[in-house]
Amino acid sequence: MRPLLPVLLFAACTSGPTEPESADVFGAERETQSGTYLVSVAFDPDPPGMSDLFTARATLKDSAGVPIEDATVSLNATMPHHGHGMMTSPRDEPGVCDDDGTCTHPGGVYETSGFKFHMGGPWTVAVIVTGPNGVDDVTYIYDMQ
Amino acid sequence: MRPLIVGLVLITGCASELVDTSPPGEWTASERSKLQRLRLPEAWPADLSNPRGTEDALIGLGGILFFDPGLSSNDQVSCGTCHKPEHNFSDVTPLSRGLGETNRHTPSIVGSQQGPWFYWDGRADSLWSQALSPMEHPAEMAGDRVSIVRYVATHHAESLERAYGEVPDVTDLTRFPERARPAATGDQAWMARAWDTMSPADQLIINTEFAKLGKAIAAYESTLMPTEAPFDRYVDAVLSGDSTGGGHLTDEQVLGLDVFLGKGQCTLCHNGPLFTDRAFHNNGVAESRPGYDPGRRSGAPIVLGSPFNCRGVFSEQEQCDELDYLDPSFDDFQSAFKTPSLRYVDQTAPYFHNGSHETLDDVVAFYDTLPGSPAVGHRELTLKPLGLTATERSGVVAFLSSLTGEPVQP
Ligand SMILES: [Cu+2]
Repeated sequence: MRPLLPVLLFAACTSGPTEPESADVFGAERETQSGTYLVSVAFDPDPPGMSDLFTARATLKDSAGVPIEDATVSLNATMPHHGHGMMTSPRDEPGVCDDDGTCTHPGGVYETSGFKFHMGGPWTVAVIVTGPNGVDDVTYIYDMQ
Repeated sequence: MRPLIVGLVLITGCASELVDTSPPGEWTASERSKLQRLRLPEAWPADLSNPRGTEDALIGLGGILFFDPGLSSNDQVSCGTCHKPEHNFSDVTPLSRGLGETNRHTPSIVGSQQGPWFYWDGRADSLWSQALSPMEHPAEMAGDRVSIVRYVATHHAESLERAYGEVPDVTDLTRFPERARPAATGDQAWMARAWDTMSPADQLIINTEFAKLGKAIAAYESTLMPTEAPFDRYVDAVLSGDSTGGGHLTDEQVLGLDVFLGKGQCTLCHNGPLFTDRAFHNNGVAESRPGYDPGRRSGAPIVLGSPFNCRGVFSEQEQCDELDYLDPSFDDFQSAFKTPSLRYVDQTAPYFHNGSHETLDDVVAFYDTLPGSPAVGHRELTLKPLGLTATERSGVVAFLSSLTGEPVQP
């Protein structure tokens, strides 16, 4: 069921910072703000339990849809309307690293562990990509129940 | 569950526009899934910090220790002095009173094994390590670990042996002083000096035995779990398609539940089967004494530095993710306190971390109007005056009493 009324209210009452422009399903593949990359996001486990630690996972592709395995991807989450982030210090996992410390992310999958949503309501999940085509980012909104 | 973005931002961004069009007792799909999450589970997750915590021998020893005032320095204060069974294991006084008065209210321990943080400020990360500090706190039991270990080995040797297979010999007063504990200050500093005279090996013996006592008490406390309440039976009926909810709630309680889930937005924090998000929030309740209570701001560094935390040598837990990922500098920890469970909440007056509100009517009125502001930090921004009617207020209070099951037996 897709309620129409909330869309109108959304437009009428939102004054907060960067909100996603389209009403996508959470985490679905989207272009980053400047159109540089394609990013999707998933949680493990899904849905995360209230105040349980979980892992956030971003899949990164170039605009042609080819996975990018050697970028730096950082994930974080905040509640902008409440002026706070998470009570944890999440860790961007290095991926698969060889002996000389060079790391890659097979399939373009980047993981950040230590996520925790400690209250219900809308969380803004930000993905910042530093990759071969420069820095770009995308945000999603996840409704924690 | 893949929520739509559209419905989300308005939930908190403009709560006043949030219109719950369904009348009380007719639940939307979203409300039904909320009800499901609030229901008691079939089984609770195990306490990973206490692998032997379900063994009868530990539970038996723990029950004895919990109610034994002999563990305190004046032989008059036990865990059960403040965690009164007839009061759902909480206390009737605003602030806890042992040998002295603490600065916070005694919370109920029913369901408390569900962690991951313990105390109002989360300064312990396991139930067993939590159980240790009141024994030595000057305002609570004012004991010391050396004499406590010796006392239990002497007075409860049989139960101790049944639980742990052996009874330590700590009778040599040249190695184990009459009374000694680390980090004692003020007029108890002499106990810290006595502790410092002990060899590291003997200190380790005492700490190891002391931790075992905490694990036994935690084993006992883990048996104190909430039982099914009228609310749970109501949810079962509703989810099985009985729109009357089986008659398990009164009309007034159903109205209150509707406010609890909707207009009141109570489930933003009071969520899950214990009606708590197990997190920390500054609700801006006024201090009842001069100064201010930093709450989680001071609790986080304490748990990170505790020798009895998950990373310590007395821990049997392999993964310490909660501790590893904890950000002690999180801004909103300032004067934030752990969201308490609402199970049996009508049995646990007074309310809030400082026991400053006498009745549930007072509490609901507080959240309705949000008087005052916190001494430091800022009130959780999701809290907005609710504008409840008198009927809605009393409905919420009536609903809260539906969370009380059969009394939890000691
Ligand atoms: Cu928030």
